[in-house]
Amino acid sequence: MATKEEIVVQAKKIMDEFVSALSKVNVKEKFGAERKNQMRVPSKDCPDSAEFRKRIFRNVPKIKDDYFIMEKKEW
Amino acid sequence: MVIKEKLEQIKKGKLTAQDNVKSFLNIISKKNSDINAFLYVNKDALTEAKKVDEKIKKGKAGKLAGLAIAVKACINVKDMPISCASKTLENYYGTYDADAVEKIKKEDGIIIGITNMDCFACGISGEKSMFGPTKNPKCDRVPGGSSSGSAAAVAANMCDIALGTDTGGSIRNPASHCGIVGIKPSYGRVSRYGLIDLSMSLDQIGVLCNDVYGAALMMEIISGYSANDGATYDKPVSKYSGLKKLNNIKIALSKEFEKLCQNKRIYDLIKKKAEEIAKKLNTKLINVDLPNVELAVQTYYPIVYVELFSGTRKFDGRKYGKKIEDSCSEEVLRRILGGREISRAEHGGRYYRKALAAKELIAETMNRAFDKVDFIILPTTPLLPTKLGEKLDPKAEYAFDAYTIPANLAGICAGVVPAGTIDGVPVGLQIFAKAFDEERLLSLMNEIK
Repeated sequence: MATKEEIVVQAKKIMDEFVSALSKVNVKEKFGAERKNQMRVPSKDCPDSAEFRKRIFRNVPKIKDDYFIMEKKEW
Repeated sequence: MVIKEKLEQIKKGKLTAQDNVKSFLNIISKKNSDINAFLYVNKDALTEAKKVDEKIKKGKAGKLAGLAIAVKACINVKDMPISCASKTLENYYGTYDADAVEKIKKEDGIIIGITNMDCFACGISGEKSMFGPTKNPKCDRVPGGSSSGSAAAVAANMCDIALGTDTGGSIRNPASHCGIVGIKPSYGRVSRYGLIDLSMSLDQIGVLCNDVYGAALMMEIISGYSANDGATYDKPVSKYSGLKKLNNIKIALSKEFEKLCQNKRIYDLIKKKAEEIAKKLNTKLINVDLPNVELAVQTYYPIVYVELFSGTRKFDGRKYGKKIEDSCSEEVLRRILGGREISRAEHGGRYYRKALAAKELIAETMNRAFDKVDFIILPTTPLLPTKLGEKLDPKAEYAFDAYTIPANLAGICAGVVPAGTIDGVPVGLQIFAKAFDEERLLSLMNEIK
């Protein structure tokens, strides 16, 4: 197996080649703007609903009042 | 026996869930030491089958009653080892069921085991698992990846249906190499809740099966909105297993895809098969222009590198298992370290932003194509699978995804059905359909199979 340093150099080289290939096409960078087709109707479960709370706490191994109990290696 | 026939036999009492599961457990015990498709076999499968038999007798069983379902090792199943075929999560057991698994259990499917895969879903061959490579049951080539164990388990008749995941082709590539059916749903069709992610903006859970009916039935069950996954759409799920007759459809090939093929025999086989389908369905094959689709690989990997780096920060050795950088495969490490490198502040997000913009461009290209046609037919991989142990450099490996990645970038659905063999090696025919058109996609796959 190659060393971490060699892997970084190789990965960066691949990324540079790939992004350089993308630079050949005229791509418009659109950020911070919502696209119409990605807009969603807000869910009926608003964050303070009982259902939302139940879902958030569903997989938590230990709960005390409104808090998760997080312990190293316990989840 | 095909799934539809088997379900009828179970319903009529001619085959019990216990007998079905028992026969698969026998096959697994005989073949798995060689094929290495399963990392874990459910020791309670027979007990669960017994309970399902009781429900069948009472007439209260679900749509998957008695079927044995295998699950890829990156999808959470409660109390089963969900290692992502990595040493990082070697001792992690699912603490809950993924949405897709919960739906399967609700319909009385029996989880028969957890399947092998390329470590953290990074790979195209099935050889990059930290628990040994999976073998292809159909030929002496690699089974494909990353859902290698799921595909091999189906192809070797070790289960009825398997769940896999597809970020850039990880269901379709092994389905093609193992000569089975595979479907990658549209982005947002199946909840990813409970999936250990590779790239959150591209991942989808999908299905592998020996026949289209089984894949369609499973899709019908696992699809739909979930409050647990904000990316799912609240669109109705049709009766996919109805597999309708298709009329007045437009099927296309694309010259851009033909140019990407590195093995002419593969493209010739796919083209011939496409002509047969068009003739059968009384339609003509047309050509559709797909500019920039040849940049799919270059677009996909910067996104995956960055999102994998970001998504794996939780594997720091403090909360779950071992630190990922110290315990993963070389390919995972390449993507994580590469992702870290190109995310550095000094690059100002240049790589990721450029790739996202190109993703948008490819999605627009595909959407424009689907204004003109209903389906696009293409190969699944540009080359035949390599032999076990044959080394490829990373860029050559990435190029194997050239035909599958566009569907992930565009968020559309895509399926693979066996098209035939070349030198004894299975070759899959791939079909693209527009987003959320799974019903017609599966119907067309059924016409071919």
